[in-house]
Amino acid sequence: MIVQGHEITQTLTRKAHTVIVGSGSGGAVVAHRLATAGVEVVVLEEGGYFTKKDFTQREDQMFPALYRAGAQQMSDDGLINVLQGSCFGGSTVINTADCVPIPPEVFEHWKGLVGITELDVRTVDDSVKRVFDMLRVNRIPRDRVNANNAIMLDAGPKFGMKSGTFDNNRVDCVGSGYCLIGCAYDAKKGANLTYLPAAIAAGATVYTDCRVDRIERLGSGRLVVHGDVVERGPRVARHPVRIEAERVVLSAGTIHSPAILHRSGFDKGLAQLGRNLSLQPQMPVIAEFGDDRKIEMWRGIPQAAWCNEVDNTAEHGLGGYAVEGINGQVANSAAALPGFGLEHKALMGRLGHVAVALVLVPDRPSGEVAWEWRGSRGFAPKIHYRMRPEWVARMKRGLSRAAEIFFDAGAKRVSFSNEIFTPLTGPDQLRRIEGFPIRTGVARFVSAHPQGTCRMGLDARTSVVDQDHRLHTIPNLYVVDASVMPTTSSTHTMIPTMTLADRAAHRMLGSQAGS
Amino acid sequence: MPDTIPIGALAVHLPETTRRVFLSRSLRVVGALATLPLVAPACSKAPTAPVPTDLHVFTAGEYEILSAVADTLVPRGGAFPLGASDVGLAERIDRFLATQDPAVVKGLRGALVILEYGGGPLAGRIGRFSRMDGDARTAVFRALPHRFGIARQIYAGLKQLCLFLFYCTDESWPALGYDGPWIGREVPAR
Repeated sequence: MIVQGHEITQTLTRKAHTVIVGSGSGGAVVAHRLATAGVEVVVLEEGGYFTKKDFTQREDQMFPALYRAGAQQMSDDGLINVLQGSCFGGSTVINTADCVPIPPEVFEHWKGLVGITELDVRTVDDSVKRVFDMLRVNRIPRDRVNANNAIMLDAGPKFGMKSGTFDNNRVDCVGSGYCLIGCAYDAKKGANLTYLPAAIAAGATVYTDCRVDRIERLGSGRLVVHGDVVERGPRVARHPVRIEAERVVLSAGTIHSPAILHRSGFDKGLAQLGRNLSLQPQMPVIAEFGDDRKIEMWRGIPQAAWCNEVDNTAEHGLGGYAVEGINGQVANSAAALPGFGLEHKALMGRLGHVAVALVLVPDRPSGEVAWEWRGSRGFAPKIHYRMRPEWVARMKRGLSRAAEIFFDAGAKRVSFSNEIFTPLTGPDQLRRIEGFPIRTGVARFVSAHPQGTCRMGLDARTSVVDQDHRLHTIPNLYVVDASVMPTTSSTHTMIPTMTLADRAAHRMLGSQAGS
Repeated sequence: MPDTIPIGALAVHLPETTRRVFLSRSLRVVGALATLPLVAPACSKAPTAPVPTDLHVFTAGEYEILSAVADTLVPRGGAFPLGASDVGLAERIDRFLATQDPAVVKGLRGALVILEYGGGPLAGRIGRFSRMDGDARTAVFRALPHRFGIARQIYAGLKQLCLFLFYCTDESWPALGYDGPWIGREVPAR
């Protein structure tokens, strides 16, 4: 059953065996596994419930409706726009549907870094298979790659880079290009169309427009989830929520799961809570082609192809950089392109001949999150993150390579999401990228893969949750989302999060059966 | 609390401490500017559209500044005739912000005040931003990304807000060759 916030007219008070906070790639998978095993499950989702008829393909309507903070969540220095879905299905509704599991070197790295012994490619293999089956993951065929992404695909062999098309969870995609603002054709098989309906069919109840603020631990050890039914849009509190449970699973995402723990007073004894944040910063690269070259990047699969120079090792985990095609839709693109006034209009007038790629750099966990409590409006997160020289150097290598690829493909000019770096007009200028200015209000990065604020590990000194996702200090409180990743897990985080969630749910059921 | 300038899919924060420092500096600038009409030549005032009577979040004064910003960032002419004033961009921004977090509106208001009184001096210009002609306003916006942090953030926030919402309008799309949403239309054959 789905109960939307506007259907709730008084204080919501009830009991359940398991309350799951958040319905994205972590919470949805756990809800499905537990509900199908007969566990009484309640899911609380802060965002709204939307179906394909609600996805209007209009950016000014959909970004505010589907994204955390209306897609305006920023690092505290204003340099990085941290994007997260906030609706029924979470980020799986608004992502680019790329399905990339955790590479084996990352598991090895986690073993060395935080001593995780129970996670490796072999132990998660069944989970990966189950997730792939549920999402109907398939490889994007070459003939579905649009002109924008084809540039990346063709560049791989030419530049001695690995390249290919992504595995994705689209089925019968019509190629409208609006993946980032919800699929109006139900082609993208996000949690909203897979795990959540299955969980509901198995008896789970999902309350949307319900924000969780804190968790109380009773003397009996049972937990009470406190929050509010909020008004859709401004998300102002309307009615209190109080649900008592045997078990609580926090799947509110990397920024908000630790916020709830902090406000609940559960940060005591957990020095790593809110720390070890990775953002995987990404920078748009914009290439202008001649009038004879039609790109129309806004149509087709937005992110279908990649080429990369990854450098994954057990020593440092994910490394190198990736260059991936992207479609930002027209208004989003307008905001990201450099300049203003007549020059900007000239570029926009030629947008049909513009290609865009994203350079993604896997970073090291280094940021941290703090929160301000705003009463009826909930948390205001403060995301503290600074780019470090090592990954700035990799970013510049990636930008240079992306520009080189575009020039080789016939681009006349290449620019970046940067207000003072003048466009490159040929490959002879690539060296200028060494001086690429990274300053607030000048350069604009995006992050779609925040991870790591409730790191998994062996003890409370070095981590927040154990290998079963249980808080080190409270055995019936779990965290199951991207926040548990000890370091950045993959270049796309939906599958890694779902994989760990599937494994976590099975461990919960095993533990329940054994208790 | 950090204030945020909304910019559609991207946003810029005005850190509170920085904002306070800048506001205090700006107030000194404002104080100095108050004497300018006595000694400086009058700046030509650009024509402005009438202020709507049913504004949601802005005062009439703030709306005038915002209109000047919008006209500067998306002027008429150039690659295509349509400009901010043709689509009522400032009014659209006012409506859009009515449903946003109040902290966002607060940040934007602060940015407009700073730009109005502090923008000119940052670009070596005299007078209030909304009273400048188009060339002077353009010079202010060209200067902002090269100045200190808060000036750069104001530039980025206002620019991205205006451009995002301008290119959300159906009227802007033909000039781009973008045929708009497919909703309500038959999906083209692949």
